[in-house]
Amino acid sequence: MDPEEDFKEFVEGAWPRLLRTAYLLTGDHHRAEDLVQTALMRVHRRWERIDRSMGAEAYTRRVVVNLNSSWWRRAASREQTWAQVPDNAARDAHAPVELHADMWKALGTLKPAVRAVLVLRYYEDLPETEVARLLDRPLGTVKSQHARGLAQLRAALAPEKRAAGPRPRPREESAHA
Amino acid sequence: MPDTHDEVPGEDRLVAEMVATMHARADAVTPSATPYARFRSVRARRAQRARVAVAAAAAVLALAGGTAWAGYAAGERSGVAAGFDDAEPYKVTEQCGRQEIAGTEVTLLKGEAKAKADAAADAYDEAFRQSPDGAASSADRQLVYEVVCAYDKFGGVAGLDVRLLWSGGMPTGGNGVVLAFTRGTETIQEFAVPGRRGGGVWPAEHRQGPWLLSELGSRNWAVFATPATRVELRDTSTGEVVAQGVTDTDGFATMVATKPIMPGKAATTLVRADGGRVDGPGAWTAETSALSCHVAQNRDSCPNPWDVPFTMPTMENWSPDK
Repeated sequence: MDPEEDFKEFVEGAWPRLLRTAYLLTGDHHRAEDLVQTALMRVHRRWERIDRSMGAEAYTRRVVVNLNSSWWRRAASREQTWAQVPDNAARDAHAPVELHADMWKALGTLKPAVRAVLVLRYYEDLPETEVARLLDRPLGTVKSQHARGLAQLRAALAPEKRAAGPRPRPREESAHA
Repeated sequence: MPDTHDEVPGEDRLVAEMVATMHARADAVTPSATPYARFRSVRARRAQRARVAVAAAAAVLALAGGTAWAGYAAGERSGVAAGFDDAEPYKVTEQCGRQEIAGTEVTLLKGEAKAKADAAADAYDEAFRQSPDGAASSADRQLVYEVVCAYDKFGGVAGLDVRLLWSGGMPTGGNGVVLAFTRGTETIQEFAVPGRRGGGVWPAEHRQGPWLLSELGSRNWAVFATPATRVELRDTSTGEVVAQGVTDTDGFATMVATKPIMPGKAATTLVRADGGRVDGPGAWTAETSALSCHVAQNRDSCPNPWDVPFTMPTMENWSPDK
């Protein structure tokens, strides 16, 4: 098959799934689209050299996860102590507040590496060995991040925390600032 | 029986709730355009911008004089200019060490600088109209910007200059632009045009802080300082005042120099000419950017701005000798 056609077929099929995964990783629809777009740009450049044994979608998902981590690292390393934020962003139309709000907020408090493990494990329904392979992390690391993620969610969703609501990460504050 | 609503979730319930949340949230997400059409559209626009970038690179390099100003290329490699639009709002600032930026019309450009940019935009618009491949139909024209990141001598991003090169039609969706001026990890000033993704952010604690000088071209300079401050750009080797201006209520002013001034030269100083509303010493000076790092040529050689510790100068610790 013509590589361009091949790629087109791949994008048409995988885009919605990749976008949803990216959305779960980022919590922001616009950012998720940017993430997928950038990942696809990279994949397109390497399309004919990608190891198909891994699967193009799995490869792209890995790029998405890694890009998200690197974007977040960059964002997290700077101060975000603003005295006032006069302009309010429009609410994300794709995130109605009543939709599992507590759990969604709790997921937003997790570090990207931990959140990625939970998304891949539970949303993508991948076994831990596959998650480890995809993230290029030792299985033990994935297991511990998995356990830590659940523990943090449990703590965040404790009754007293539910009442107060978990504090969102600075990244997400700024995204909606 | 306890009220299950108040229970700490057990793991099964926790996982079930998490999975349900993930699916509910993800299912609500749909691509904003037909995926492959969107991909092709973005890719085509990037190709267009890359061509513009090559054309713009020479001009930018001439302005920068190969000194302290670093540019970033659209398409990651091809020149010194960058374009961005609704589809890739983070592209530029990623390279400048910032995240929140989305592109549209520019308030940074005022007065002479804006007129210059507008003229450049017209020229590029015309160039595109006449391009043999009809690069830009009116339907898919986007704004094309040239973006220059400036790094200060501490490795921080001292300035981010966005110049409108080409505007064939405003993108829909009401983008906003946030121009962030930072040193090290500290935000000095952010300017914004209201739009999506939050619009303006004004760090009030810095609005009364020290000035920041930014090059809009070797003859065109912008300064951020306390509102209503008169500022002069002096060639300290001769004492000649080569540019002057007064900051507006946002603390912003542009100045057109009577001769080209290159950043990074010791002779380039900014002197606060009168007190304005700033308290403190009567005059303070500083070198402008002194770090040479050409992002487009070798990004890996650039220091990571966030790795460089930096203390924000204040009126108390700032002196002409520092």
